Amino acid sequence: MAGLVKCARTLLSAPGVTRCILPRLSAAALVNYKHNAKQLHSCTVSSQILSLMIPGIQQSFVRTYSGKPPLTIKMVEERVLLVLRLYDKIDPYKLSVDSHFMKDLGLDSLDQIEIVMAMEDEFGFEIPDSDADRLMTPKDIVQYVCDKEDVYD
Amino acid sequence: MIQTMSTNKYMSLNRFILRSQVLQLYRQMLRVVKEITDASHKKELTKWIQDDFKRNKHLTDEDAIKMMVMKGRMSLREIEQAIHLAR
Repeated sequence: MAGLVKCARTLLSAPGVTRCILPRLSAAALVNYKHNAKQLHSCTVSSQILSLMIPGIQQSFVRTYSGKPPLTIKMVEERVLLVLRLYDKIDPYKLSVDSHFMKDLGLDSLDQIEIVMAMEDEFGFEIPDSDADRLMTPKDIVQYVCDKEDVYD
Repeated sequence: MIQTMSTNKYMSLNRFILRSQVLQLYRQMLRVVKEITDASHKKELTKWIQDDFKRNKHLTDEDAIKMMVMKGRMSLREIEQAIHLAR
């Protein structure tokens, strides 16, 4: 709409030859505008009718960005233990929160790296090498993830 | 690869440095492989890397370990290039 008006204005500023087009143009614009308004009106009316007919449908104007549900320490712990239980080299019956990967579960440093990578996949952030070396028990991992995700309770 | 130290409780500095190099290489390789989009290729390559590292984890000769690290770095570069080209 604004574009059309602007166009008309530039035409107006042009030499007199084009002046005869102007009335027609503005008339067309007016009709067009009315048409649009009508459509807009009918659109809102129909959506109102729709929401009357089906009470379940309600337009919500809340935008949901890609947020994560809030974590708790308990949830983090459960997720960590689930990942570890699914790892084929760990015996799920021996696993506890305090068990040391190398001393208690009989894993080597390569397996420990794999576990840390699996945790990266699970929680969606990268763990730098210097921190990865220190994560030796499920408890360490839970504590580390909680620190990174700002979970305190 | 290098952690089996039967005679001495603590490893020498050289060993320690080599060990961290190996672990770093392993991590780098797994990270690179993660970028592959094709699931079956990814799985195959991951398996291949894991098996290669685990097969050589009992090596004790430092020169042999150094050689393997060099070889590993070369294959890492190769994989990186292949992934880059495939994209």
